Amino acid sequence: MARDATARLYDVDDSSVVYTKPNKKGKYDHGTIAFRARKGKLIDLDKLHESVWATRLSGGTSSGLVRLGVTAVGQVVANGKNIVLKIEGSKKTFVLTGAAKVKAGSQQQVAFQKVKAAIGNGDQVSITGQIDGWRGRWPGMLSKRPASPRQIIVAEFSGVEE
Amino acid sequence: MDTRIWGLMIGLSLVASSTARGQVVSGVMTVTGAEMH
Repeated sequence: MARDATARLYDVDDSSVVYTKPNKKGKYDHGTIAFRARKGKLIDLDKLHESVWATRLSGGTSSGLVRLGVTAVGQVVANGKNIVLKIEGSKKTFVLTGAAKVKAGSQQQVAFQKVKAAIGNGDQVSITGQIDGWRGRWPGMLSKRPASPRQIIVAEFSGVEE
Repeated sequence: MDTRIWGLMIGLSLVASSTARGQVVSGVMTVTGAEMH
């Protein structure tokens, strides 16, 4: 009901924000909220964080944010010791890192190897991964701000056809 | 569904509909501990 009202008011594709609870056995369990930008747009993570902060979610339960996964498209470049994803049309960048503990040959390891290989080649690539350091229980995590620039722990890599 | 989840979803809807130039194409927020009926 509330989502329908929001969709009318803001012309949102109401399928762009989808809640899924994979395991229906437990009352208190993990659930995911998937979202995507409208066609031709990109989602501003600063506004997303403001939005979550504005919920003023209270404590007293074990409710909280487990992780935030994102997909971003841009060019991989080196910036000093960092590997950076430059987003076209944005001054914001992401620092790309590999997962701390991954098995040799795993999808995450292979994806980060591809990121390294793409440094400076000018190709548009799609990176999917977890925003590092932004998780925790309400309300304590609401005051947390991700590192600037934000870090993506790379999980998936793919090329983008232009 | 828990009102906590509704609050998050409405906020994310507004963000997803924003005309501001952002950085990401899509995302998945994993939450826990709410009553997720």
